[in-house]
Amino acid sequence: MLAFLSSLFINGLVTGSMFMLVALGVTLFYGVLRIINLAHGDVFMVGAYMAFYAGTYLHLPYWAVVIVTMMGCAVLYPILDLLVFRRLRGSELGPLITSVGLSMALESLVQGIFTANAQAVPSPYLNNLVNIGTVSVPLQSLLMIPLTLVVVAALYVFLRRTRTGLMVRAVAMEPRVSQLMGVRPEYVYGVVFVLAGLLVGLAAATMAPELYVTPTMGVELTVDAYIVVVIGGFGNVEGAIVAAFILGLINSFVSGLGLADWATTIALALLVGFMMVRPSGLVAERLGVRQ
Amino acid sequence: MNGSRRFLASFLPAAALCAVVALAALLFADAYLAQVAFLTGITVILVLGESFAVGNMGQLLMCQAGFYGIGAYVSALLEMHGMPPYLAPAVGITCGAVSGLVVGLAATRIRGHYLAIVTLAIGVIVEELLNNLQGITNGPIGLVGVPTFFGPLNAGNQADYIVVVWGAVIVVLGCLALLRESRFGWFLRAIRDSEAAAESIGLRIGTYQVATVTVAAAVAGLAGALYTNYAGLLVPDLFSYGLSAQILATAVLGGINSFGGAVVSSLVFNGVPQMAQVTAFYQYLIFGVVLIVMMQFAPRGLSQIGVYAVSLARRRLLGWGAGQPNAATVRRP
Amino acid sequence: MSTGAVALGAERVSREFGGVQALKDVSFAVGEAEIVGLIGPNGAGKTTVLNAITGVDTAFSGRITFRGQDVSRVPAPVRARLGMARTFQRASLFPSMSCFENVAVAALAAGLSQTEARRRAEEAVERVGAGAVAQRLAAEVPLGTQRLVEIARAIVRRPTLMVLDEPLSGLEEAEVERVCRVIQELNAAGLAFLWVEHNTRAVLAISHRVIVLDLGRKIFDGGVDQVGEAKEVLDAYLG
Ligand SMILES: Nc1ncnc2c1ncn2[C@@H]1O[C@H](COP(=O)(O)OP(=O)(O)OP(=O)(O)O)[C@@H](O)[C@H]1O
Ligand SMILES: [Mg+2]
Repeated sequence: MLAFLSSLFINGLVTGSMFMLVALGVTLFYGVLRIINLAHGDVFMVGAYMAFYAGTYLHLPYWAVVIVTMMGCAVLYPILDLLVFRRLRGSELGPLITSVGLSMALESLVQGIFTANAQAVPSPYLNNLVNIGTVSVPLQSLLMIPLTLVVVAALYVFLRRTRTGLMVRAVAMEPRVSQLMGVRPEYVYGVVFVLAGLLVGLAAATMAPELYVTPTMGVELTVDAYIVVVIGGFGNVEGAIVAAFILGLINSFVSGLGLADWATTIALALLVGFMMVRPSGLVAERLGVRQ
Repeated sequence: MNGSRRFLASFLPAAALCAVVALAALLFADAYLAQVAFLTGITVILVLGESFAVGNMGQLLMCQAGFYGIGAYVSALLEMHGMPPYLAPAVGITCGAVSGLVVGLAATRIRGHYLAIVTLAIGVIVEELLNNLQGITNGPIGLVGVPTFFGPLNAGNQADYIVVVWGAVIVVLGCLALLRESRFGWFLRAIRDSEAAAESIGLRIGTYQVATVTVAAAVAGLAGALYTNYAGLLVPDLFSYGLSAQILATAVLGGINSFGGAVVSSLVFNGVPQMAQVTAFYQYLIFGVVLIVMMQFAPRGLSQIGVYAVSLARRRLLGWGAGQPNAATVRRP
Repeated sequence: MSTGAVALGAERVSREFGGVQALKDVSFAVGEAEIVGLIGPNGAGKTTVLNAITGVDTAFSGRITFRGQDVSRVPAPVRARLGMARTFQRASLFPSMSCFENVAVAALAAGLSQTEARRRAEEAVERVGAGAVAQRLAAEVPLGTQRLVEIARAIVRRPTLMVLDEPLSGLEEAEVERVCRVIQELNAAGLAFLWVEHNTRAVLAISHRVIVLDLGRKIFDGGVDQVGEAKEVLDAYLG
């Protein structure tokens, strides 16, 4: 029983790590650019296919797959920004609508290239079981947790300690004032897209081996990411981290009770309920909602 | 406020277009085209509801497919337990309205673009419920042997189906156009334009948001009931997020809150590809790409392009009148 | 002139914005049929007071009473129905409607029939002198005209208290005079006014009483003839 519970717990932490990596991108988009990007999960999906291609067709070693995927997403996102979002700066509804179009386009493009069949991404660590006390967990899963911690710590240091990070935070807090002080917003936006790409690429490369990769996998992840962000508070990085783990644990325990089919419904009901009770999120108030 | 003139101006062209399409389908359609004509009519209804909601709230409703599915499943289940099919439209409208009311009430405190996220979540919940409530919905296998209005589509009854669905389109158009020019419609516009000012003249924003979602959902529920009584078969996949996205895309491409635009856009982006037997896959791709491109260059959709084309033609051909479209009327949504 | 009965009461109203004390224990009253000017330097908290009074902001502490009723937690639209009307510092018309429609929709929102709403809207638009632009889109007319239309939209509901936030800014001299005259006429018909305005000359000319705010505190409350002599006021404006 204890072993079962601890394996669910570890599983929850792993899922939570993935949610966090994906949700951090969404939070950055809202916090800095004030846009809601419903195609973020689809970029994860594209990343998963990059990992699939790099691993299965290019036969790259797994560490290289991770790097290629992260780089690939970090390059892809600014390009998508240029093509899709750039002309719509300042509008909120415009980017939201185009992101729906982007999601449709990415989904069907990937389906055109790789078909709609589910694919598996190879990883040497998948069958490598590690014993922690009485529980044995695939090494693949365990990789996720330290990697996420390192990346989040790096992001934190980047935002707090570097000049560019300071600019990002300045634009997030006071877009007008920071412009007057010589910060070029387009530069900051570019940085945000690269960061979001790196984060989502890492999530894709590390999680894809444990998932079935399909062109339609993105939507659910987008929804999960927004659940995290809504519960954590829009644009609130700390809140998103807490919420990601809560959601990951809920997901894991609900599946553990044999209700895997209902996991999303329960998470979504949680989201809707949360929006009704505390529309401004768990941690702090941001704009958009009246208390 | 010239209510009746505005009503006619928005209703007549769109209704005339629908009548022409229906007539063409009646006269020339073979079995395949009759099917396309029917399904396109369903799409027009769904898109009109979405267009009304987005145009009046300035917010996205991402669960039209969910309301559509609820209308379809409830009327199918009731009919399988003996309800006569001619009651289905009323049932569909009621179910849609009730679920819209519930969603609207759940979201009363939610403002701005959060609504897109909540409704997206609700759409996904509906699809999952249809899959998971196996005792009622028969899960992913779906409902088979649902009664229909006139039996399976064939040369003998295709005219009946076309008349029913396009008749419904015209009725929905009329109702929405009336609603838009009514007091209710004016209040919605006020709220969309400025929430603070609308509150200062005594309008409760939450109430109108709930009402708008309810209207859009009722329209989608009607579409669901009509579809059931044509298809005789329902599976959850028919009511997925992908459909909601397509409905939204079609509404935006037509030009938000332009009824004529909604009809044209449904014909161009749903009817024509089906006529040309474009696979669902390419249709989805085209949607995505066209939506992105349109938002870059003509964010107000086909109706904006139409207005521009007319003014260009006037200037070129007649050398008078149109002038520049001014900044205030060609705002980005 | 003030009849003694109180239309609006603010009792120890305070408001904090993330550490910034925008209002501290501000109390005052506006009598029925009184014109009260609310002045003070930039950032004094004038708009914040108006938002608390009209319910745009309900996160303040203290009490707002309106015609004997505690409305502190009553949402803005309900306060409007009780008889408050306001204009905004940043003129907030409905940009997709014509000027006339802006006013007419407010009349409809007051529950009037179509014909009655139209008649009253025409009357209100004429009254503020915006008849010439009635059919033009609100977003297209000059800022000064937008302010006039906003006033028309507020009065068309026949409120008992008008709350105006800098109604004269951006207006030409003739328009300033017109608005002042409209305020006085409506006041003569029994309507109370609380108005924020930087045009001190106009404020002193038509208000019955003046309240001065500085750094979130009330530093003066009295007749227009005494305000020029009050030491605190001079300090606040000069120092
Ligand atoms: N929403 C808000 N968030 C944070 N601070 C605010 C907010 N609204 C007002 N403030 C602060 O409260 C103080 C009072 O602002 P307020 O707008 O009431 O001033 P005001 O007297 O109307 O000034 P002005 O003459 O410039 O209109 C200012 O310091 C302002 O920065
Ligand atoms: Mg102010």
